[in-house]
Amino acid sequence: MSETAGPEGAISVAEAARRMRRSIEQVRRYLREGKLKGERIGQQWFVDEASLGEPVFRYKRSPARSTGQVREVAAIMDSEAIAKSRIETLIREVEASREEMGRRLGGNVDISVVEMLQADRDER
Amino acid sequence: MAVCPDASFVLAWFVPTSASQAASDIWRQLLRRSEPLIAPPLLYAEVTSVLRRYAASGAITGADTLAAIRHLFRIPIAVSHSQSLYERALELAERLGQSRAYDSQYMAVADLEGCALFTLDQGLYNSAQRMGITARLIA
Repeated sequence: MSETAGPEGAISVAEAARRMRRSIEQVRRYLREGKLKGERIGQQWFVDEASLGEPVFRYKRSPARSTGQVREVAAIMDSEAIAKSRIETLIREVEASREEMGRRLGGNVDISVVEMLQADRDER
Repeated sequence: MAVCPDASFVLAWFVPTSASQAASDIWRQLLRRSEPLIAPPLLYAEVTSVLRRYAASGAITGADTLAAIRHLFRIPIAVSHSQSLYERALELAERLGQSRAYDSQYMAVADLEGCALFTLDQGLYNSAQRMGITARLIA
């Protein structure tokens, strides 16, 4: 089906569905229910792009509710990317924190964690 | 292969020691590869306690210890906590002639979960080797 050019600041239902990781039918339902702002021109709905940024759509996306395989793969890739990003942040923070401790110790890093652990166990 | 980190391996990543660079390189690899990490609850108690010792000695601050705990809980470690873990720990300690069952809890996790024990502790590494448990000594 050919797409009619939409009003300014509006996107097609298919594009909104892709960005929201919802089905086209769900996006049409949101439009009918008024949860998404949009406009119907002839037989075709257009979604107000700005309304995608509203909190209900930014934060309530649930990959578990996706039904299509493509959306599931996208959701998995998304969560993997988030997990990787969190790991990289953790690595950076741990190492920055340790380097800062090292600077404060003036480079004196000759403390054995094994001896510390042993002493700790001995005192219990 | 899944890895059971002991407290020395975690601490060497968090606080500056001569083994920190080696520990850091391995932690980066494990985390980036999403290697499964499994540990006994003892890990958290020991890391906390030794961090406190470092702070009490003046080597690090109280804020450093709190930051380290926050980091610890962001490492995706599955905690192994079951009756069989403690039974196995007792059995291993007895076979090794150990009067305490700290090291053996890490060994029990590695043994029961089929993972490799990563440690900086030569004694723990030797014990694991004696028990036929896969271990890696970080130096």
